[in-house]
Amino acid sequence: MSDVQMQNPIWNDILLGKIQVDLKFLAGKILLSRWQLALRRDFSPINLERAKADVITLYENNIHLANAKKDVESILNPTHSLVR
Amino acid sequence: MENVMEKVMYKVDEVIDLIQQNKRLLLSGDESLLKQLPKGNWIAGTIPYFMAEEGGVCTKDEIQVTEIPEYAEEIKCITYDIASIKNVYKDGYENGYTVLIIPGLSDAHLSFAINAPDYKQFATKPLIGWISGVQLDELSKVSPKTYFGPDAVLSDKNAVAMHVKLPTTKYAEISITNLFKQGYGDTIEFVESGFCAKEAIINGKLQNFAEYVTLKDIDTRLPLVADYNGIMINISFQNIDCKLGCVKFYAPVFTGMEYQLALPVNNYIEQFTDLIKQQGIEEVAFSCNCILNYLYSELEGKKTGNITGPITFGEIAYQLLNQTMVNLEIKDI
Repeated sequence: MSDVQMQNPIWNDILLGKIQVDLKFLAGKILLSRWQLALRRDFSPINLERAKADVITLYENNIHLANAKKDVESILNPTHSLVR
Repeated sequence: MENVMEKVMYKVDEVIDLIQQNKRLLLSGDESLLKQLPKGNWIAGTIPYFMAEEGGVCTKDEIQVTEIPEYAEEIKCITYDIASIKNVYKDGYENGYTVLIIPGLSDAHLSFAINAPDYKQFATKPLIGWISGVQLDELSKVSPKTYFGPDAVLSDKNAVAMHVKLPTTKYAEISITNLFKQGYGDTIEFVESGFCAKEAIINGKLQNFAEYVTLKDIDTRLPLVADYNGIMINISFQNIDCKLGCVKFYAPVFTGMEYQLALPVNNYIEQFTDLIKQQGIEEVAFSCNCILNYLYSELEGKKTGNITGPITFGEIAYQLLNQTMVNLEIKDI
C-alpha cells in the first residue's frame, strides 16, 4: 500500500467508528473490531497509530486475497462503501 | 460442494495405517482410541461427537480424520503451554494456515479465550481450531485432552497446533457459518471482561445480570451476539449461579462490546443448508461445529450438508467462538 493510501484519514475514521464500511475479509473484521474496542478505552494518538499500522499491515500482507482486496477498494473508495 | 476427503470416520487400525504411511493428519476421537496411535505427523483432540458422512453422531468406536492435502509443502507440529500459546500466530507460516486444538476447561483454554486479541500478530495469519471435550455425561469424571502426535503424548493442559505451509499458488481462507443474529431486544454491556458476569449495563442501566436473565425468563439456549463489523460473534450461556449472583458463559464477554440476545433459529438444518449455499462455500479442508448446536438443534442423525468434522466444546476462527461452525477453504490464487 502506498504512503498516500496509508495516510488516508479514512483509516482513522473507521478505527474510531466514525464511519462503517461493508467489509468482506473475516480477519479484517475481527482485527478491526478488536482495535475499535481498544480505542474506545484509549483513543490516544499513539494507540491510534498502532491500530492503524496493525490493520494496514494485515491488509498489505493479504492483498492477494480477493476479500482483502475488495475491502481495501471499499475503504479507499468510500462512495461505494459507506453504509452510514 | 465438494469435500477434500469423502470418508472421514476411521477404525483405529485404519488410522494406524495412515500414520505409518507418513500421512499428515488432524484427528478427533475418544481418548481410548487416540492413546492406541503410534508417533507420527498428527495432532488430535478428544471428543466423541462428530458431523460424520451420514450426519451427526456420537461414537467411541471411530476416529474422525482430516488429511492435510498433499500439495501442502511443509508442516510443523508444536505444543503450547499457558506461557507459550501467545506465539501461536507468530509461529505460523507466511503463506499457510494453523490448526489449533486446546484442551477444554484448561488454563490454556481460558487464557486463549481472553488474551488472544493481544497476542503478537493476532489475526494476521489464518488460524482455525477447536476446544476438545468429552462425552457430556462424563464431564465430571474425565478431562478433555489433546494429543501431540510426534511424541504420541497426551495432555489435559497443553494445546497442540499444526502449522501448514501452502505453495505460493494457493491460499487459506477461514469463514464462519453462524445462524444466530442479534435480536431487537435490550442492549447489554458488561462492566468486566471474562467468563462470568455479575453486573451488566442494560439499556444504559446497571443491573445484576443473573437477576435480569431470571426475571426476563431468557431462553439461555440462545447466545448473546456481538456485531464485529458485520460478523456475528456468539457468547453462549453456561449456567446461572443464583447463589453467587452471576451468569457463566462458554466464552468471555468483553467490556465495551454491545451484546443482544439472538433471534431464535426455527429449523437449523434448513437454515444452515441455505446459509452454506449463500456463502458459496465450496471445498472445505477442515470444519468443526459446536456441541450446543448439536444438542439444541438435535443434530444427531441429521446431515449438515456435506460438511464433516468434530463437534466441539468451542470453535476457533482467529479467536474463540461459540455456537458457530468454522470452515477452512484452500483456494487457488
